[in-house]
Amino acid sequence: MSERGETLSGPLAADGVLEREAAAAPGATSLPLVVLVGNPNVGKSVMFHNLTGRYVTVSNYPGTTVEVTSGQARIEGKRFEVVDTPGMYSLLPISDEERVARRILIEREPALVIHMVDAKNLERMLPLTLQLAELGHPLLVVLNMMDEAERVGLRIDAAGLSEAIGARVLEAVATSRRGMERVRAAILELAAGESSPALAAPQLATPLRYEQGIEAAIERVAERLPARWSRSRRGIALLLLQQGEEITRLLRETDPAAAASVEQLTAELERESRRSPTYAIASRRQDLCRGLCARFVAHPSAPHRGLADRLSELAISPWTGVPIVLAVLYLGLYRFVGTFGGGTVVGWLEKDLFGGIINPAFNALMLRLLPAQSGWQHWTRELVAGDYGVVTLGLTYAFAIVLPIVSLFFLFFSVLEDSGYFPRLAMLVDRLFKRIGLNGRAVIPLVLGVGCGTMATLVTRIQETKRERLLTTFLLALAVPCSAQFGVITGLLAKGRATVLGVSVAFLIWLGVVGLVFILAGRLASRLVPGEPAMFYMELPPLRWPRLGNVLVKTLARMKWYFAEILPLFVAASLFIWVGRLTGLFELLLSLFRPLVVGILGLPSAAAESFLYGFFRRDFGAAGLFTLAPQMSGVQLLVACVTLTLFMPCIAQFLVMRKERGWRASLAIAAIVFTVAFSVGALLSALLRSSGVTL
Amino acid sequence: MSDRALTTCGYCGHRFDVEEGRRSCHACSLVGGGCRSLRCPRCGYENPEEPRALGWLRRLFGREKERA
Ligand SMILES: Nc1nc2c(ncn2[C@@H]2O[C@H](COP(=O)(O)OP(=O)(O)OP(=O)(O)O)[C@@H](O)[C@H]2O)c(=O)[nH]1
Ligand SMILES: [Mg+2]
Ligand SMILES: [Zn+2]
Repeated sequence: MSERGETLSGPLAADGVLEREAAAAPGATSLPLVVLVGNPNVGKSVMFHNLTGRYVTVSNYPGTTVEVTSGQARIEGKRFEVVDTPGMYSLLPISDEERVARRILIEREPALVIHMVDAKNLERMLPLTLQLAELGHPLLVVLNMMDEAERVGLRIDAAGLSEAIGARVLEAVATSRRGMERVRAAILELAAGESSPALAAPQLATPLRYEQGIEAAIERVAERLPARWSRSRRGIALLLLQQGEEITRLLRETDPAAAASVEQLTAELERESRRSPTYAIASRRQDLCRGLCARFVAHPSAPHRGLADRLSELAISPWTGVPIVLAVLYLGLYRFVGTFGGGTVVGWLEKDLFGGIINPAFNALMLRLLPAQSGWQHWTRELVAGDYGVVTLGLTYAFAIVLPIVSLFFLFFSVLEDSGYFPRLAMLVDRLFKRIGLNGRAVIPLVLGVGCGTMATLVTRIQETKRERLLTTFLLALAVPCSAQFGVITGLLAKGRATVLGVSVAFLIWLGVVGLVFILAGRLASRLVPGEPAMFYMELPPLRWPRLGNVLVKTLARMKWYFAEILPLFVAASLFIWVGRLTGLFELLLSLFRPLVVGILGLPSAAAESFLYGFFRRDFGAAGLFTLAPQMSGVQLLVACVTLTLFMPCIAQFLVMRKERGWRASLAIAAIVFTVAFSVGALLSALLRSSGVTL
Repeated sequence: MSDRALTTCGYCGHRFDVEEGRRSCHACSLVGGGCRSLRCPRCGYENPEEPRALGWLRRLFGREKERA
């Protein structure tokens, strides 16, 4: 335990020492306990200091490293013990801090719980208010940061809200002590037990009832709870049904039999419900909170609907939203990343700079330094220079082909991100994505997947259910090309002679085939993987002009991640190829691939190499394709592009898949992806060749 | 009160504490070093964090400006 009192001075000193000793043993006092809870950053600690003054105790909560601050408040001569808890988002804890906050609520019997709320974000905070109300302790809700809420023009009907949730609601500005008098008076009234019985336990005007199955389970669990939780029966039963483990443990310590039967009930409920009880309960609360906010929060009447608002509406409504997204993708991906990046810039860097100047010069230098045609000099030279050298191949791929495309993509992505377009895109495609078992949230990983599938697989974490994450991971592995692939493919296919409206036909066929695979695979997978699509709803942040500084910072940060991640793999791949050629292993692998590539897909045998590279990284395979393109016909190029796009996720993506989804799922995905890629490639090849088209 | 650095989520627009976002992003890089992301507590989106070198440069220029 450590003391954080300031030095004592003057006439206060004697009193201060007294208070200090009393506060040093939290819980030991028999004073009524007032617990401050709420989301992080809402002003709990400021309120705590307003109430307690200077002398407080900071201690680790027993058995944890989480610090809890406690102190005393004196209101009209009456003393209270006040505890400031770490921020928490809900009573279903994820972090240690949240766990401690919950334990304080459950293990110690508070005389009053003060829920501190950021008044600007009422809708997001109210679910916790409801959870606290269900716990049954006397509750005071403080709408803090009213100054900021007022500045944006929000008005909240505190009295109405108070009536609806059956608990006192007060407005305050903790930093300027506005509303403190009323808060102190409320503490005196509610925590000293002098309140009317109606106010003691929060009582919603219309009680919050859940689905029948859940209500029945609540009742049965509540019956088995020990007497000391009498006040919180319903609330604790709900917690047990949702994320029981920790509380079950608590229960087991005192009453093992009750714990066992509760566990059984929970398992039963899980099995019988159509959707997860946790989700059902949360969405029921969400709905109620939305209703409460609609009734009691007045938003500033939008006086000037500016250009941004109108654009925002256009972006969400399907009739205008779809053309907008097509235009954004056409300009951003096809024109900017594809034809400009993958065509113009790469052509210049790869052919002129690296192919024409850097690599020949480096090769000549190596030949001068290590002239022998056999022995160690030859092999060392082969390692760094020549057709497969770490420098000449690895660095050319990395800096001349992948770097420009990927940076242009991340630039494009960051512009969209900073403008606030993504949430609108998410709303727009939500309905569509429901058909493949996903929801609007999948937009981010899927669009990012066009940058780097590995990064996107990590980002699937923003999705709420395991099922969605699995489906998205699968689609990312199968039907979403990464930016290097996309750039190279667009750059190559855009050169096709046949065009429609300025877009190459070969590119359109590629897009059509990959899109079709995406939709069919998505539909099929969503049928096979059990579960329902999760609900998706989000408040929209304002649409705004992207700021150059933000965009650059985000682009740079992503590029840094990307290169830290891929450069080692590029070097490793070159080393592997070198060792493979030294030992003949490379040839062996190629001879396995060749029959597939030549026989089934009808491609030149050199293409087998790009497929082998593609296994290391998708972008590596794409880069290989770039150097190979001149040897192929239009049809062959298209078949190669389609197969490579659908082909096996690269090693990096596979490793991340394994890490995030486990061995079984990732091996299954790999097997499916591999089969689909070659089947579709073979089918397309047969179709195109039998129809005799040229592209 | 400690002064906190706040950042705005690129996806949902929520403003949150940089330190908090840092804590809740797991080290998810394959090569190590972590991904340096700020995970938004509201929507879970992982916002890329400004690379260290850039922040350093920014402070350098900031100070330069102050002196001038
Ligand atoms: N404008 C305004 N700012 C406030 C108000 N109350 C608190 N703040 C500020 O909000 C920030 C967070 O306040 P804290 O009291 O540390 O928040 P907390 O809830 O204890 O946060 P955690 O301990 O992280 O959970 C500080 O910068 C405060 O100055 C308020 O009523 N109005
Ligand atoms: Mg605090
Ligand atoms: Zn967010």
